[in-house]
Amino acid sequence: MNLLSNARVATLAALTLVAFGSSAALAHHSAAMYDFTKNVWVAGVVKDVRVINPHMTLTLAVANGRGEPHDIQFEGHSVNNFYRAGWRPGLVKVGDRIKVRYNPRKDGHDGGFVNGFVAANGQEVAFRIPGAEGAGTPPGGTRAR
Amino acid sequence: MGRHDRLPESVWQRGGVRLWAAAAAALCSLSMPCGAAIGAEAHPDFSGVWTWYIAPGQSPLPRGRGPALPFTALAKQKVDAYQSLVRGTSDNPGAHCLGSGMPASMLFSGGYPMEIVQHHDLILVIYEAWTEIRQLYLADKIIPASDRIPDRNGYSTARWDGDTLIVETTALKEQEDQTYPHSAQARILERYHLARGPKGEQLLINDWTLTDPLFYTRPVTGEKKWALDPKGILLPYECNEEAWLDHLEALRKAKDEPGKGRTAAATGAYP
Repeated sequence: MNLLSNARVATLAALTLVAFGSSAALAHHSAAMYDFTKNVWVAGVVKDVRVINPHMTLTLAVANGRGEPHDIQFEGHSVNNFYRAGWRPGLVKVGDRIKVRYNPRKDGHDGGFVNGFVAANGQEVAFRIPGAEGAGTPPGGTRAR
Repeated sequence: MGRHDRLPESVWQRGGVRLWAAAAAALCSLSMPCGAAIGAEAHPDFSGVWTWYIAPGQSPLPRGRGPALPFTALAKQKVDAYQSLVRGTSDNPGAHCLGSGMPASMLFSGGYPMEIVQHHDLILVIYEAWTEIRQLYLADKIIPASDRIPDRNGYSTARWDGDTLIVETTALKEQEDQTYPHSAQARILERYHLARGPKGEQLLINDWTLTDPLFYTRPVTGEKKWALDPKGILLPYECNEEAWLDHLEALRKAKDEPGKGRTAAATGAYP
C-alpha cells in the first residue's frame, strides 16, 4: 500500500488544513505554529491517543539521543479526516509502536501536527500535502519497528 | 439517469429555459426518482453531497493571503483588537467547537463535504464541519425580518431566477473572528448555478457578494466552486464531547479531592 494513496480525500484534507490559516474552518487551531511545508517522521510507543474533533491528540514515548524514552505531545487531524484517510476505531491503541508523520512546530519544540502514521499492524493512514518535503515513504520502510 | 445526474449541459447552457410540471413528470417516469425535492415548477436540483473543486492545473494550495480587504477604520480597529487578543494563542472559534458562521461556513466547506437537501420551499445546506446547518427559505416559509433571530450564519431567504438560486443572508451577528469579518448589518448575496467541469464533472458555482458599509468601503466579491461527490456521505462531527468529559472530570476532582478541580468545575462552560 502506498502511503500516499487515497490521494483525493487526503488532498482535500490537507487543503482544508492549510488553506484557512488562522481563521480556519478546518485548521481549527491557529495553523501559524506549524510548518506545513515540512514533514518529519518519528517512531514511538503510544501512551495516549484520542481521535476526537476538532483535533486528535497523541502522546508518544520516543527514545531520545541516549535511548531514553521521553513523551512528545502531538495534535492532528479530526476524526472525520482520519476516517476518510482510512483510520478505523481500534487501529491505534495505547502500547502500540507506531510511526508518525507530522508537520513540526516552527518554534523548534517537540511535537507537531500529525498528518499520517503507520499503525502497529502496518496499515498506513496518510494525508497528502502536495509539494511538501518528505511526503513519501517513511524511513525504514512502512512497517513500524 | 441516476439520482445525482442532472439535466444535459445543453439545457443548463440555454439560460432561461424552464421545465414545467409536464416535463418534470416525464423525466420522473422515464428515468429519475422524483420526490418532495421536485416542485411543480422544475428547478435545477442541487441535492447531493458536494466537495471541494480544484480545476485542472490550479494550485491546490493558496498562494499568499490575497489582496487586503477594504476595511473601514471601524472594522480595522475591531479586527485588530480581536487579532491582538488571540495572537500567540491557538484560539479561534473552531478550536472551541463553534461553527464558522457566514461566509466562512460556506467558503470553507468542501474540505469537509456539504450536503444539500432541496425542497420546493426550503433548501437545507449541511456543512459537515461542526454540523453547521443553513436553512434557505423560499416563498411562504420566509418570516418577517423583525422576527429573525440574529445568528452567526444569519437568516437566509432564497428565490429562483431562471436556473440560478439567489440567496440573501441577513440577521448576522457581528463577527471579527471571520476570514471576512463583518458587522451585524452585513448582507451576503449568493448566486448558485450548476455547470460542467472540463472533464464533465458536475459543478456547483456560487458567485457571492458581501456588502457591509460599516466594515467595508466597497462590496467584497468571490466565487466558490464545488464538485458533486455521487457516493459521498456526511460523517457525524461531534466536537463538544471532550469538553463535557473534561468538565465531568473536574467535577469528580472537586468532589473527591476538595480544593482540586474546584475552579475548573465551577467555571465550566456548561449550565
